[in-house]
Amino acid sequence: MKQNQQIESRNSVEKKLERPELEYQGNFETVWKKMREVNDPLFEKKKKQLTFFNTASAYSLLAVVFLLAGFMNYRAFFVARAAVTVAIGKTIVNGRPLSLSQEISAGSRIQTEKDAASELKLTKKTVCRVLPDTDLTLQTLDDNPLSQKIQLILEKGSVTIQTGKLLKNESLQVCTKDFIVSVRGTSFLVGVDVSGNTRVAVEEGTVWIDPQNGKGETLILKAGYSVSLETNSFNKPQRPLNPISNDDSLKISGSLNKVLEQLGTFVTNVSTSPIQRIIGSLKSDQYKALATLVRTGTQYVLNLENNICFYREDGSEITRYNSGSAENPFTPCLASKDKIIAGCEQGGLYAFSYNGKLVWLNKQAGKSKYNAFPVITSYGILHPSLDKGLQVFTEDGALTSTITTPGNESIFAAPLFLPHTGMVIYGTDNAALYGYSLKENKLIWSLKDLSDRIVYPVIGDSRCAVVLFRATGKIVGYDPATGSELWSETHPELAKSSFKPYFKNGQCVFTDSQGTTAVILDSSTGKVLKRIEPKGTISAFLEDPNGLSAVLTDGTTLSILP
Amino acid sequence: MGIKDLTDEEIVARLKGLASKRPEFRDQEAQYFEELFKRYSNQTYSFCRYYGLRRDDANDAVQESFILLDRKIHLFDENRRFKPYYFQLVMNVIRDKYRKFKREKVYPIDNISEDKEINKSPAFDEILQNQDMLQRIIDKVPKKLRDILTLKLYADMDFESIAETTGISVRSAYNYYDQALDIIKAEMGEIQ
Repeated sequence: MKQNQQIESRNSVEKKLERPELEYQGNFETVWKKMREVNDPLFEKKKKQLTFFNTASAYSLLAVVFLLAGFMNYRAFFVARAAVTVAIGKTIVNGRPLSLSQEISAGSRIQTEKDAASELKLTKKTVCRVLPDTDLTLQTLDDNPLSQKIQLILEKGSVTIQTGKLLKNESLQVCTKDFIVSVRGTSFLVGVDVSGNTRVAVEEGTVWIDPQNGKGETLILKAGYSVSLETNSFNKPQRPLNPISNDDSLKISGSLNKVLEQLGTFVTNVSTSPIQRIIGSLKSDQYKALATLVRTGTQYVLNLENNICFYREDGSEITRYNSGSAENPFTPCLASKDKIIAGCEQGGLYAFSYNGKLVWLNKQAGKSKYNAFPVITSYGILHPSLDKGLQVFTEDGALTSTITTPGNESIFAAPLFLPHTGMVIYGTDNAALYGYSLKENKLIWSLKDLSDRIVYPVIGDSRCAVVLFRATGKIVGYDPATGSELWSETHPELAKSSFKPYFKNGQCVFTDSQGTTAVILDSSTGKVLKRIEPKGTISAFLEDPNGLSAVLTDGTTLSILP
Repeated sequence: MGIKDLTDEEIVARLKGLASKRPEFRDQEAQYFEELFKRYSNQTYSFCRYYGLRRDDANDAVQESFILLDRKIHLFDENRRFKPYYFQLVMNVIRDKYRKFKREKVYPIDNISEDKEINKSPAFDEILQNQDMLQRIIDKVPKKLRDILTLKLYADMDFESIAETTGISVRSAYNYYDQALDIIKAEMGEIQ
C-alpha cells in the first residue's frame, strides 16, 4: 500500500517535471563548418606530432638498443668467459669434460690429456691454444675494453697465444713456476717441460720475460726467436736465443709445427676432425636438427631438414640444396655408388652427385616421411611413400614399377631388402607387415592387425627382420621367409625414438628418443648385447668402412659397432 | 541499407574507420555526422536547456558536443552503446560551461518561458504554469542528483544508460533519482 503511494507520488512529480523537447535552432552546415574549423588544425598538429613521435621513438628505440648492446658488451667485458672453439680428445675443465662452445670463467683449471688439445677464445683479441698434456689455470680474465687483463698460470705443458695489439693499461701474462712472460700484442708459445724448464718461442711481436722472484733482468725475446730457461738460472740461458724460422710467413697455425719442432717434445699437429669442423660450422639450431651424416669417400653429406649439405673433408661446405620450403624436409640421404638419393615430404625423389649437383629429380615419386627413406636394391631404388605405395626407380630416375599395398595403406617407414632372396619387407600405417618378392613380383606373406602401426624402418637380414613399434618400444623379430614371429622384447626407453636404426653383422642398433643411450640387440634372439651411454648426446650416426660411429653433439665420435 | 537505417553504433563505427583516413573521405564523414546530428541535436539542446543553460550557451553546447565527438570518436569502444558515450561528452561540455561561469563569476539567469520554441507548445502551460519556477526548483537539486534527473527526464535515458554515462551503479542512479524527486516534491510543496 505504502509502496503504491510512493509510486503514485513519484509519477505525479515526474508528470509535473515533464517538458517538451526543444528544437535546436542551428543547422548542421554551420556545426560542420565549425567542427572542421576547430578540429582540422588539431588533427593536423596531432599527425605531425605523431610523425615526430614515431621518428623520435624509432631513434629512442635505437638508442636503447645501442645502450643495451653496450651494456651487454660491458657486462661481457667484466664477466668475461673464454669460449671453447676447438676441442680434440679429452680435456678436463675443473674436473669435468670440456665440450665445444662451452664457456670457461676465470679461475678455471684446464687439463689436456696426451692426445688432446683445445682452443680458447679468451677475449675478443686473444686466442689461446692449450696443447697436449697441459695443466693451465685461467687466473685472471678481464675483457674490459679499456683495460684487458689476462693472466694464465701454466703448471706444465704448453700454450700458444695469439693476441692483438694491447693498450698501455692492458696486460697479458703467462706465468710459469719461475717466470712471467708478458706481451704487448704478439703470437707466441710458452711451454714448461717435464723438468720444469720454461720454453718460449715468439712468432710475432716481442715478449718480455721476467723471473717470478724479481731477481734478474728482463729478457726481451723478439719475433722469430725461442729460448729455453732453466729454473733459477735466468741470467744465463742454457740455450742461446734461436731463430725459430727464416720463413717470414709464420702464422700460428701454419708455423706451429716449426715452432714445435724446434722446441722438441710437443705434438706437431693441432687440427680438428672433419666432423667437428662441419658441426662447428653449423648454427646450434641447425645442429639440433642434424639427421644423417653420410660419408662419400672423402666427402660428407648431411641432411638438415629441408637442406642437403655437401662438405669437403676439411669441413668446408661445397654446396647445399634446398627443397624450397621448411615444410618440405628431405628424408635421410642414402649413398649409392655415385649418387646421394633422398625423398621429400611433399613428394619427389632426388639424386645428387657427390659434389652436390642435382642429377635427376622424379616428381612421380610419392610423399615420404622422415623414416621412409629410399633403399637401394639390385632391382632399383625402392621408394616408400605415403600415397603411392612402394615405388621402384632405376638408378637413372625412371619409375619402373609400383607395389601397391593391399588396402592402399600409407608406408611411413623404410623397407628391408634382402638381396639373396629378392624379398622386401615393409610395414604400413595400418599395423600390417608384408613380405613381397621382387624376384617373383608377388606378395609372399602378410601379417595384419599387429600391435601397432609401423612407422620405424625395418632392419635385419635373411635370418630375421626386426621391427620396432615406435609407440611402445616393443621390438619383434620376424622370419623374413614366412613372417612368423621369432621373438619379442619390449624396451620402453626406445619408444618414440627418431634416430635411424642400424643393422650390422646380426646386431641391431637402436637409440632412445633423447639420444643418451644406444642399445645393441642380437637380431636372432632380441637380447641386449650392449647398452652404450656416452658422455654426451648422440646426434647422428656415421657409417663408414671402419664401422658405425655415433656423432655426439660436441662433434666427437664414438665407435658403436666396429 | 541507407544511413538512416544504421544504428548509432554502426554509424560511429564507420566514422571511426573514416577518422584514420582523413581528410580523403570528408563528404562521407559529413553524411554520417549529419545523421547523428539529426538524431541528437534537439535532445542535446533540450538537455542543456533543462540542465540550466541559457539559450545561447545551449546552442554553443550542442555545437561543442559535436566538435568534441568528432575529436574523440576514435576513442569510442564499439562494444559500448553510443548514447551514454555521447551524453558523457555533452555533460563534460556542460560542466565546462559551468566552470567557465564560475571562473568569470557570471551566473546566467534565463527565462525559459521566454523562449519562442517553448511558447510554441500549447501543453507547456498545462504542465507547469511557471517554467522558470520549475527550473529554479531543479537548480536547487544538488548537482549529483540533478545530473541523474536531467538525463532521465530530458535525455530520455534508462537507468542503465544513466549509470554508464555518469559512472555510477544502476542502483545508485535509481536512488539518486528518487532523492531528486523527493527534493523537488518538497520544494513544490513549499511553493504551493
